[in-house]
Amino acid sequence: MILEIKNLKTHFFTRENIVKAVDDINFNISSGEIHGIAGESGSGKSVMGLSIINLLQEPGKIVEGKIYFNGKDITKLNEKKMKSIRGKKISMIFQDATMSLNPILSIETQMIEAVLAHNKISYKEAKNLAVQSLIEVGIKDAEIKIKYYPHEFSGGMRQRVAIAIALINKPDLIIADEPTTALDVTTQAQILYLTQKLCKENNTALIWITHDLSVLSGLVDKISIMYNGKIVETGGVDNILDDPQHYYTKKLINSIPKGNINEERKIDDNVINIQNLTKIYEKRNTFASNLFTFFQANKHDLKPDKAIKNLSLNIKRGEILGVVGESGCGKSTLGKIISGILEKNSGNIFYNQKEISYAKKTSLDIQMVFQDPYSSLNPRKKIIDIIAEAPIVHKIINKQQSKEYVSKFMNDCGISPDLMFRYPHQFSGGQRQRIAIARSLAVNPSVLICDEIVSALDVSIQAQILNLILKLNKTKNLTIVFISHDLSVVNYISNRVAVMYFGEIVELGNSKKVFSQPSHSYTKALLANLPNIKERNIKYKSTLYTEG
Amino acid sequence: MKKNEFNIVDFVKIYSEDKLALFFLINLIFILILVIFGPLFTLQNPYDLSQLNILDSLLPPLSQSYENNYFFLGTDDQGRDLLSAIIYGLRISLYVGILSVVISLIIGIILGVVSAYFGGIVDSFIMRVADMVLAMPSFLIALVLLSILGRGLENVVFALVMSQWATFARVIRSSALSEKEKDYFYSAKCLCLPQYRIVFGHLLPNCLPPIIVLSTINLAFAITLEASLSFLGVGLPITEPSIGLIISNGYEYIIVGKYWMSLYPGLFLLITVISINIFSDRLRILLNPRLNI
Repeated sequence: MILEIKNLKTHFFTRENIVKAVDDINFNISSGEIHGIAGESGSGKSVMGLSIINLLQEPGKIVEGKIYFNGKDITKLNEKKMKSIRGKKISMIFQDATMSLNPILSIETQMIEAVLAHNKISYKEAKNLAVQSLIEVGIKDAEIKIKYYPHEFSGGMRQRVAIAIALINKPDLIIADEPTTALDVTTQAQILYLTQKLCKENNTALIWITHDLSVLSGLVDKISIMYNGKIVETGGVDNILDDPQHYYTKKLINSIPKGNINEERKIDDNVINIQNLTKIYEKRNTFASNLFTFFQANKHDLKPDKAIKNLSLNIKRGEILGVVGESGCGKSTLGKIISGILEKNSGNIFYNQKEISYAKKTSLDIQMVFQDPYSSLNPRKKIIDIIAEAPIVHKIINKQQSKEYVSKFMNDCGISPDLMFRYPHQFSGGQRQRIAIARSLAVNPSVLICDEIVSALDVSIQAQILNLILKLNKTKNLTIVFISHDLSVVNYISNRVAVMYFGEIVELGNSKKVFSQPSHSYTKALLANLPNIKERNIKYKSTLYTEG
Repeated sequence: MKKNEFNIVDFVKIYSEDKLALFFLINLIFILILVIFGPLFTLQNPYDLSQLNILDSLLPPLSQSYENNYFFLGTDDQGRDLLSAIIYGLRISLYVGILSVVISLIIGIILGVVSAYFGGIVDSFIMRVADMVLAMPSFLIALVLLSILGRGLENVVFALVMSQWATFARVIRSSALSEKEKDYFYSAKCLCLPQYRIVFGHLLPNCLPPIIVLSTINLAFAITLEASLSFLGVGLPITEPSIGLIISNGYEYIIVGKYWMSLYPGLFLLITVISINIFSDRLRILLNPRLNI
């Protein structure tokens, strides 16, 4: 056993109460083992990781329990002794490499610093070691790229660098806290494959913390499920995924969207016609930005970004159209242009054969629901005002009717109307997303654009919101454009699906067909790299769409 | 993530965890009471000449008057009770300070939000003017304006506003810019709400927290600025003597050992400004969303 946790309790002492983030946990990992910890947000999985390397911040504190690392209890060590372990024996990979790498230091400085902090070797040897470990994580031209600054790498490359830094001192244990959550599917697959390979080669133990069970299926040896600060179930991958014992594990596995439930409908009535749409994000043309670009080495950055290139699309009445693509492919821009928030550069959009223009957005027929339920509701307004404001302004109802009107829509979206006098911060993420949907529905739109509306939510809440969308689609005959990076969600919910890649639609069709027999190579690459709880061998098939 | 609804009792409870801040808050409240209700319990109206007696002039602290009243802080060269003069002076100082902060706040809010909302050339124009104002020391601006306009309460308030609005406009603009990127702003646009509703109903209320802190800091600054201007004799007229003018009156007597005529008004000014500053500093800590009280 390299790490043994016995009855660990980590509590947070806030003004109101004590939050038992980690509540009596026992956990073991032997050297070379890859152990996945899955749980929803707030289950205490990250706090457990931080407790091990003692990076807890006020007001968090380990109140009870022991953590044996190589047979020695490390909970009682002072900061100085802990420093000699942290980074040397145990290292950590964080979710967002943009935040965990220092933006003003070159990769070289940061890597060499990590080496010299624990080893008495010369600068030159340290540099060789750094280059070596960059090569190990698959960075080409490592000797040149080591001089780069974090912003010169893409998200996936940054995470590789973070992994290289974590591995550079050949630690016995690595704790990875959601390291692929911010990455695209194809990049995620590469990182998963890479980490697994390196850990097996170096006989390093790995704790992989994630909210996504399907990521774990191909990666780990064992899985622990956390719920409310407790580990409710531990076991081998096959045991947990095929034969879950605890009711919570069953619930988690059942909430993962599987298959497709929506057939393509035989309708030819187009609600929205998009013809040759192009959107270019202009670079700011000010003195300061010109000066900046003048000194910039990469001149190809100067060209304006084409977010959407000559895109044509028909949206049929009453259907759910899924739009999938990786980050930066222009899917959110498309949604914002259709709903009239963003201006287009060229092309035409017709709604019921009438052209929509940005300058005079007067029609309420196309509404949009946004990704982040925490910022999409004005924190200073009560729910009743949030929902009723637009209908009152547009004279759909008068002020006296608002209570009745709002409760109707709250009921439709599955929130009790008794809560309408509360403020947004008193609701959970899922409830807020329901309120945001109710707000959009209150102006009686016929098209609803959902931009990543479930990606900020836990799996079980996600399933509820998806069912709500399906219900609204059926009962109100609402046309829904469902934008998401998550293929399994889109597959589950949509009638037709459009796959976007670099501002273009590369594949469009019946979602059952697209997902079972993809024709475009990008769609194939996406599907091949999609983690799936049914498949236990890690795949790394993407050859066409790699980065670097 | 859950934030508690604003609750004044809780707020006071958390505020008073810092004992020093609590002490100065009590101090500030005491000063405010003194200033608001001052005329009810001062010994005399120091500017009603019929109440003054020239025989009482230049008395040291704790001496007795002709009519057996105690002058706790002594009297000035005209036989005026210094404590009464200080209370009346603070009244004017605070009045001028608060008035100028409120006016520059209103100007700053309107310009800042308009600047952030419309962007482009409107934004550039307003912000370049603000930059010009910020580039010059505020004391200099006030001094130049007052030498042109002459003394007078309105002129002092005007000068203080001119030297302070730019700070407010800048801060409001930057917080409005970050609020503008949030999804609720897009959703308000999507619901076709009229522009004035988006700006004043959605954008503005969410820009306010930093403003609360900034206004208290600026209040202390405005009071000191006004006192310095009055001390130099370009601020308020003799008929409306602020605390700066009282200090300036006693200044020439320090050399002959009659220290109290400048010392005590100076101390009162110091305590007031420190109290406001510490209060605003504590507010800044408590309103910081990262600390999530």
